[in-house]
Amino acid sequence: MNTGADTAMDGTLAPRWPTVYAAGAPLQGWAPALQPGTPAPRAGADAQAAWQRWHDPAADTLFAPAEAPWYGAAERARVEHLAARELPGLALNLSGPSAGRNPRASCAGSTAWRVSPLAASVPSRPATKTCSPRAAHGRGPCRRRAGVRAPAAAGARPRARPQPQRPAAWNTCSVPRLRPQRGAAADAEAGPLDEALAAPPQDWRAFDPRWDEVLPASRLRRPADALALQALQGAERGPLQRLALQLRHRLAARRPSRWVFDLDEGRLDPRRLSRLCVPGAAPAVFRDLAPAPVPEACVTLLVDLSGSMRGAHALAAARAIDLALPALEAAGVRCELLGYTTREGADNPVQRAWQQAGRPAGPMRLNALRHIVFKTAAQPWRAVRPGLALLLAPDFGRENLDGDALHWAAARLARRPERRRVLLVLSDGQPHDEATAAAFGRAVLEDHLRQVIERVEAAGTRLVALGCGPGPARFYRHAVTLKGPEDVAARLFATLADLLAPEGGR
Amino acid sequence: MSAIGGVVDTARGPDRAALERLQAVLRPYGADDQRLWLQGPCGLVRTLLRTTPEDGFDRQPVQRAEAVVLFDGRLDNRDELAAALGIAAGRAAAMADSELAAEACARWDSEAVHRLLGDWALACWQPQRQRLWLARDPLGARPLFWHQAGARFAFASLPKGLFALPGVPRTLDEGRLADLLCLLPMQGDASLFEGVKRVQPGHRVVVESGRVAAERWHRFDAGRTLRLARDEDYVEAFGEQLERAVACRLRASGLVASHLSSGFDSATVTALAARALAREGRGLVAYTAVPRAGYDGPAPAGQHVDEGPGARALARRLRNVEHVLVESGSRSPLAQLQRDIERMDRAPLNLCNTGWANAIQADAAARGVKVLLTGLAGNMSISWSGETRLPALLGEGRLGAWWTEVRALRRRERGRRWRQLLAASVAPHLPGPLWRGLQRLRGRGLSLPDYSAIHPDWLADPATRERLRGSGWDTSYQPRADGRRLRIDVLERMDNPEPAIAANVDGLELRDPTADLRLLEFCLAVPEEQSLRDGHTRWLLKRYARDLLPPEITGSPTKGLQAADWHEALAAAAPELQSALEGLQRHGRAGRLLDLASLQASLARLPARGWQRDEVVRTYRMKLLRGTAAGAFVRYAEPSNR
Repeated sequence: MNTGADTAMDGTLAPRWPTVYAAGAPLQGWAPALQPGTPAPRAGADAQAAWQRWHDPAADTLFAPAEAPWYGAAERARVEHLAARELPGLALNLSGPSAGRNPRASCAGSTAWRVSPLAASVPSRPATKTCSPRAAHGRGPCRRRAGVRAPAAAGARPRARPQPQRPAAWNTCSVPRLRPQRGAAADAEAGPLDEALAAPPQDWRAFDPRWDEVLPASRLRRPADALALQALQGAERGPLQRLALQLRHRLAARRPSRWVFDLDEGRLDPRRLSRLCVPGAAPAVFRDLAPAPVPEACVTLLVDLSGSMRGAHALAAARAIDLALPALEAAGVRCELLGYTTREGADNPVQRAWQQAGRPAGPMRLNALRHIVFKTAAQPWRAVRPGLALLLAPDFGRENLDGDALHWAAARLARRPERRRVLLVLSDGQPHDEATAAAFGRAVLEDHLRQVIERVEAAGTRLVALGCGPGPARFYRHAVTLKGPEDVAARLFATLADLLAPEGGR
Repeated sequence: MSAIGGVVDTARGPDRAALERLQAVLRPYGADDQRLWLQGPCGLVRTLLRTTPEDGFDRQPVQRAEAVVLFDGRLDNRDELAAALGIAAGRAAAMADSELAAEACARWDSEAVHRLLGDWALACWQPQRQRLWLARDPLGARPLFWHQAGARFAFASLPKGLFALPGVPRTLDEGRLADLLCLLPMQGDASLFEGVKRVQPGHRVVVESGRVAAERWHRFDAGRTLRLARDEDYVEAFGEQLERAVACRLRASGLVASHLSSGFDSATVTALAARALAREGRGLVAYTAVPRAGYDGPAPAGQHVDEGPGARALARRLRNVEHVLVESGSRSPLAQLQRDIERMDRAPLNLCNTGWANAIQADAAARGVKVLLTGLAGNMSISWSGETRLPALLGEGRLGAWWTEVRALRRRERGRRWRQLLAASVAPHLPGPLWRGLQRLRGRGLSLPDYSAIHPDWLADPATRERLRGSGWDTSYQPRADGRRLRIDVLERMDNPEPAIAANVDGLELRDPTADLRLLEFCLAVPEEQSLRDGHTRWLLKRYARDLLPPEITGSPTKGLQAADWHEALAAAAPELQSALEGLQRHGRAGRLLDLASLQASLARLPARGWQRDEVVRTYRMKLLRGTAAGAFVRYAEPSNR
């Protein structure tokens, strides 16, 4: 929604928004202005951040143009109330002068009610039988349509993100599979998509992709999950930390340093000491080691979040990731952390819709994807680390459609500008979705995964899978078989070090 | 030892990426070297674990003009084979076992199998004839599976290798799972997965012009009886065979270790191995599984719970033996279940024993042991009790000899009752229905639900009943009178090589001297009166081991009980077991195949005492743990996120 009233805010904030506030993600519609004049930059930015965080653009479609300004005002009040409740610091900023509240001005200045084409395409969805907060989250638009201010809906929404002062513009809507992502799922440095990954395999499609979604981990994380993360922090991590340190050293060792001479400070260069005896000569007799430019590589870690990963596997993966990502960042390697599962289990709306449609012939996917962005390549790990708690949540994951997830992750990675792209999949087995397998057999999921792997490798991405048991090795040409969950960290670090070795040096 | 695999696709040629995946799946079984070979319609992969000095020369696949050979195993008749092939000793010393096997295949084609002694499985591709043949040794010590779809024929050491190829479904074979749950032997060439076939032990599979033909190349001779002049001659010949069987299994590129219980089999193997190694100035690590310190739990009649004292008595006699006692009773029976299933592609049959076996293997791997000796086939070979002689004598009408033997047995083994001895003599001659009726009258008749976790509905299914009948296996376990035939039936239908290949992941090779083919054939040919005489069971071995083993072993009136403290670990793992059973309930197929309600009810009423009782052992050690393992295997074969 864009009232167009707050042009000052548009003018100052818009160009800076993606890089300064949204970790590379473009802005998805402005909050409606509530009063004329230019708001204080801090308050304006925070108001927009809150709008990006708590407002659902899909709900805009429910109101006629004449109703829109009133709804906008009420919605902004609701959004800022939630923001103030969750983030006291932000509340202070919002309560300051010129925060932009003037419903009348907003209404008067209203020009057009912009309807998101995507939101318009989202149908009214039937309620499912089981409805945990997480499972229900994806059906949020439906619930919010029923009552924008409904406390239940607000309560069901997850807690705030970890950095209240640095808003990020996540897209909460359902996003069709592998189309260019909106919101934070995309990246500021995104480039064109490789042809090999531009479209899914021809003989594979989703029966109805409208339920698919891409979400930031922070959207699904619950306060209770933080305890698991604390436990992760408090667990015995000595051996793993040593391994992470070794990884750092190995990555650093692979960044060749070079000497820089003729410096005004640094280490004394004996070969230039004679300059000191020459009157008038530049006394630059120092030298120093300068690191070579950071390796031009981007690593994507794609983690299976399905039910079978619960427990020891997920814990081991979380521990390893928690140490690997800082190590990669320290080495100057861009890295992205993604996860995948489905929104529902065996009984799901896509399957029901397929049944109601007379069970058309397949093969096709009969579940809704849930792709999760834990960390984009542009975000620092420390800012999004709390999202890792999702990996440890005991009741989160459902099925795993590995082929679709791999395609999505590879497509994201393919848009990165870095020359070397590494995609590392952490999984415990084979693709599984009960609804699809029951209708078309498990082989279709396996065939699809194999096709996607071929495409990803053809696109020049270095693809490696790590997994317990023989599952991943059945599908991936480069697979590391783990002896057990305790093996994850050591093998992950070793694999990363190998993959990021200088080209030709391996 | 190697893990091998390959694809012959006469239509499109093998896919290199698929072969690379196959190799990746098999890599853990052969961490020392991996090779991939691709030519024409055939692609072969091999991963190698070096356990013998000659493995350093291994460059598989071995290519000859006539044949390209993949060989997984160890030859125990290298010198003999080299001589038959006309290879000089000096040259043979620098040849890997695989190379010798390849020479044999090139010379004798598929008849080479008769010349190869040891634990092996091989694949021979003959490019000129566009023919592939696969074979396994008579006892099936190394596994080999295959799958055919159209013009593509694929094989691999384990089913998981085949699943790395597109178009090979990973679907459970319910019939085979039923066999497993009912403790039936393997039938035909089916495996636990639909569409995946076994090369059966002692069989050859030939693929030519798109046709697949399996043929048996080895049979044990049930009619051969060895006749020697004196009783001492049998002992001497037996000793010669046994010592050779042990000695040829000591060829190792690292440390050698052995299982050492308080029983005859492993003790004999350990003693002979230590003696042979001592002559070369080498040592032996001997492992004994013992219950936790202070354990004083009950033992079934005729058994003792601690095998430590007997084992220690032998170890004290052997100067070059490092004796290691392994306590594994506190470990949950589920602790390594998933790992074991993943390694073996099947469910372990005895979760209690895998606990201590895994603990031994872990310690051995940590010490750098390369070879671990066992005595698993001893009951069928060196320590055959000979008790089938009683019904045999009765059946032959030699009542005087029978009466003498019965009286002597009663005198030697005081625990034996007259009624037991009489029943053991008569039972094999009763018609089956009469035997089963009498058992039921005495309250001793066992039905499958007593010891098997198979779901009653599934068991009642006509197809399952028909399968049970068709197996030719007596599930009432009526005693038999022909000891030789009984042993041959067991040996020929037993096919359990997966623990051996799984040990390769730990860098170990399991070798069983008591399963040596020449030794087995000798033992089968020895007359029964050499095994049971004057009330002495295992008379042949007892005479041979009189000076080899200590009296704590030879004179023990009781037998050792493996994993005696199993019930403590089971009770401690009850919540974990409950959770596992609930997980199986959520898994659709496992819930349909297994009687989970019965297992959960058993778990809910764990007895406080009386763990040695037969019915308790059957309910918990056999039914509950085996059922849980089978369920975990179902989950592994057909994963679910529930």
